[in-house]
Amino acid sequence: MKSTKKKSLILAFFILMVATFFISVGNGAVNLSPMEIIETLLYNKGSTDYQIIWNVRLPRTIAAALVGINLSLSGAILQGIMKNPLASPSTIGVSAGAGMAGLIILILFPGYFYLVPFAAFIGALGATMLIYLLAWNGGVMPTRMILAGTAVSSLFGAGNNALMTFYPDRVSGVLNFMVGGLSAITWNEVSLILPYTIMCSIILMFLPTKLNILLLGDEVAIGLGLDVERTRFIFIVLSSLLAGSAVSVVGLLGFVGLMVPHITRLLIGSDYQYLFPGTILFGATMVMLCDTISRVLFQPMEIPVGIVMSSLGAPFFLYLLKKGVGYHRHKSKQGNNKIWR
Amino acid sequence: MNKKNIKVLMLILAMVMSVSFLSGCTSKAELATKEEVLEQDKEEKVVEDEYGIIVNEDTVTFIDGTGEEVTINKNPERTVILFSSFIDIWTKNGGTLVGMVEDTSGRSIPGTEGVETVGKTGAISLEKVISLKPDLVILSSNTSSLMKMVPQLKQNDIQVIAFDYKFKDDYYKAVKLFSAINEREDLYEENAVAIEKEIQEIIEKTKDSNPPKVFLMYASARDVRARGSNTTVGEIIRDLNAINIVDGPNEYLEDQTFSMEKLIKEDPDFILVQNHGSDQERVMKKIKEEAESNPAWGSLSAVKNDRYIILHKDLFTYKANHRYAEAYEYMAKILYPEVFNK
Repeated sequence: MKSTKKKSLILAFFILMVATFFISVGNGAVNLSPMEIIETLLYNKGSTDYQIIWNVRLPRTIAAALVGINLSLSGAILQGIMKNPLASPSTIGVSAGAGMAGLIILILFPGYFYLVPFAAFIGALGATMLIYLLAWNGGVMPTRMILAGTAVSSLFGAGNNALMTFYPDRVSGVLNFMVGGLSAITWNEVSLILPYTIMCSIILMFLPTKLNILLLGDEVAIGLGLDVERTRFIFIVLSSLLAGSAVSVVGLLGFVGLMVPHITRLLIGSDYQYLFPGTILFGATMVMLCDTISRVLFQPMEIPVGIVMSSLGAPFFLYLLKKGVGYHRHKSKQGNNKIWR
Repeated sequence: MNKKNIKVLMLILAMVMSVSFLSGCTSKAELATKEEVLEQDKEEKVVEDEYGIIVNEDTVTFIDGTGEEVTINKNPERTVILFSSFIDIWTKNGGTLVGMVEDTSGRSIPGTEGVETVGKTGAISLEKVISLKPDLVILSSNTSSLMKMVPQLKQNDIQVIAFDYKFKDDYYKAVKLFSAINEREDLYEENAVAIEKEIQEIIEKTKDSNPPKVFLMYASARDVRARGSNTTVGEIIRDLNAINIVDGPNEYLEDQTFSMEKLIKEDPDFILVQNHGSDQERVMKKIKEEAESNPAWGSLSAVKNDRYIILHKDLFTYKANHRYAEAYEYMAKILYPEVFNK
């Protein structure tokens, strides 16, 4: 794909994201026309509608975008450094670690429920580091890391199930955390996640070449003068920070981290110079759109955003896969990363 | 089929169709099963509306929660109860126990001293149950892990009472059934008829007042988990002629994640909070603090006017049972202070 075409695709993604942002802010359980929204925000501070727009809908839309960006970027990085199409934040233990920490607080120490975001974040990072150490053997082979991640995740999963079995009366209080959702988002949550999104996105904008080189395989990368272990470690830390901060705010929202990078890759190709911005824009769009649907479809009831995301995203992904966009058309020039081209 | 069911079905249909379109296979069977389940739900409701209890000389016959006609021998000697809400209804209506599920409510129930426990809800040991050689096991038809045990219990010649307990009518039905099985019909008068009369009197008193708008929610800091009138506490609020803002225009709803925007728009007079019990005071204090400091919650009149009320756990988190009238009175005092707190 030519770079001009890629650039115009990025521009299209950007326009789509901006449009989705306005659709998300413009729609909700309470019907308000665009003019009413603007008037309320400018002249009607303190009114009920102002509360709804400013304190409920806006933070929620922004949080949805940030969560989408963080999880998708995290997935895109991991699929790259692991050279595995099934890699996602859960591969490096983010979901298992955050889930375990969150459940321990919610079930064993419900009095400290307000510590859940903090605990989930620490749990996510802790699990990643544990998996990294377990996979270390003079260096980290992606395959070993994936296997260690699977084993640790299943161990934590057993712990989670044990907690839920021993305290069945408290399970209803943790379901929302396990499924993931954006229903109680305020500016507070936005401020928790925003620094990570900005910081990691900026760093990643400077690193696409390094990830492209890593994709060529360790030997070639070393030959090109890249410190493979250090680069890989930096990327793992970045993806863990991104996913950990998202999960700590919305709970265990799956799917985004796996599917969004794939869909973007199918549309725009594997060059991380374009894939990173593409993933950021498409990730934000996807979660904002799905969250809008999840709160409007059965309003005033809401359904978990994960359900909408899977029911929209999976068929779309399968459609792209079936059409053979991306994966089949580009034969690898390097030969050792066919799966990505 | 109500509007919500149709929407859910359409959503599932859309999902199934989109995938089957791509893979070239149809999933009609799956859809048919879903419809059957919905139809079954409907049928069950018809049965639940009536007690349908027939008392014979040595047996009692009734329709259980699965719609099946069941005959139970009177005066069982070794009873095991696997659903904690039934324990005190059974002991208060002439029953004795040899085994029961661990009661996590922290309440002491007379008649259960020294009774063996057979595990926690969701983790019950079937071996332990059978080793107690019961002649009767009572459980909830709404808990799948318990219903799975029914065939094995029956194979061991153990009689099983399985029914759902959600509303006050279910309580009356349980009292009628249990007192009949234990040949203590006099207790039905005391534990059901008298309570029903008391509840009716409380409801009558609320009829002429202005109905308050209520939002009933399950305590959670991460979610706006609302409860409609189709829940145990929701029924009490509905009976007391208050308006539950969660209910649809033509239907009573159950547990739902509710839109925060809609909550602010409706601005209910009362926000009533239920919690699962453990460490309750601490959780509640913190949740209340969070609500007050949160700009969205803090803008609600109920929070500003100190009408963000944490419900008594013995009466509302767990089933009130013989304290049902007390639960109605407690709720009426909250909703209609001008009538009940004179």
